[in-house]
Amino acid sequence: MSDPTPDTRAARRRPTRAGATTFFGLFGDDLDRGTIALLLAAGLFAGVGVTGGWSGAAEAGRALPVVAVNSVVTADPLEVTVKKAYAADAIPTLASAKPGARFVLVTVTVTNTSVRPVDARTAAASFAIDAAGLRQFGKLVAPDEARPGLVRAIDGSPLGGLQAGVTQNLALIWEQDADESVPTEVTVTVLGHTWRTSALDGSTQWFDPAAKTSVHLPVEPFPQV
Amino acid sequence: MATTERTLTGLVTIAALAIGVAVTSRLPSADSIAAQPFVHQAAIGETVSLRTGQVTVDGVDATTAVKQSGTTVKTSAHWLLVTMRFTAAREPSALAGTTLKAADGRTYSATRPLQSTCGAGQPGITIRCTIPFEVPADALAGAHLLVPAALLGQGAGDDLADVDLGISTTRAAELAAITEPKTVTGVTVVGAQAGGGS
Repeated sequence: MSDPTPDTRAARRRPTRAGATTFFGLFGDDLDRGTIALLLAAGLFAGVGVTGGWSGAAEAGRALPVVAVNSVVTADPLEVTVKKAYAADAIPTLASAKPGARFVLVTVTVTNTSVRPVDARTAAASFAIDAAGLRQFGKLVAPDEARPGLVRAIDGSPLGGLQAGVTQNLALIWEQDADESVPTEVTVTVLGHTWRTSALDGSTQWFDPAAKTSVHLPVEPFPQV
Repeated sequence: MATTERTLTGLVTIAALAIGVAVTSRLPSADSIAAQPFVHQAAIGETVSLRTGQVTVDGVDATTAVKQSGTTVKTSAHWLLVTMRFTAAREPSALAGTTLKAADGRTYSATRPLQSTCGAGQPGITIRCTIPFEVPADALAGAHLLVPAALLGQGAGDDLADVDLGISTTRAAELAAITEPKTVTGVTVVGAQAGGGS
């Protein structure tokens, strides 16, 4: 097919332009060009506001800060210290051996700095690692979708929730496909949340996980007991 | 219309809209008013009649290790053990969704791995149970127990018992000093009302 000539393109544009002229002509007595421009600008700002504003764009362009191991980082509603990472085929009393799987364990100290409880689901969604081949309920998932199991270090019981002002030592346990090589280093990303009311169902919960900081950790073999 | 008049009209309209938004944002909405709970204040030993039944807080205790169902659950903070009785009114009801509120407004929930609910009570049958709350020492003094009539809604637009647990600063220090493990039993039936519930 040959390219359209300038005349052909102009002819194609004419009906569109004529249609727009006719449309705006209906309001000719009430709207001048300035008012129409003002309305379009207002529509643009309203659209940007409805879709979340520009703040997200600014955040997306910002590099994630990296902090040192054992640094205290704040990612609302938590204050987190990332300590050590281990890999093991089984972790005594915490994770039994599973065929085709190994475990990556990260130890953290966590304090809920908000005024209300943080449920275990939100606590788990506050951490991610970049290891390959992570599994959830036996299926491979993307690293940012893999939720760790949370175990209280004090007694090995599963975490039910983080209460305001209570500091807990936790073990975060991810399941990794054994076909992947054992990681020698992992990057732990700590995510913050916002307490807000859902526009969909009116419930008020911790929403909008957003990466706040990351920590590079060497992965050690789990110590033999 | 002159340009000055049009500009003035636009400014007045924008100002009126801004004032309207400012005023309405400071007024309670119909939904927020409807969601206000019907609060019943009480103290230890006093019985509160909720829509779903009667609740009485018998007392509080504390520990750093709770034994329940063969497991011991420890804390680096404190377990505040709240013992209460519940008698369902007209239909089986669960005493669930209880929350501890500290004097500074922080709230605490009962969570796994310990028992977080007293289960369902049958009408006219009084049950007793103990709910452990994990709290820091500074949340003990002045704490209140909030008991909603039903789990869903947490008392929004419904009855809510607000029980002062009577924990003074001195009592809080005593509770915070308790470290020996305590056994928390399950729900027990402790009596029945003649002729059913309230």
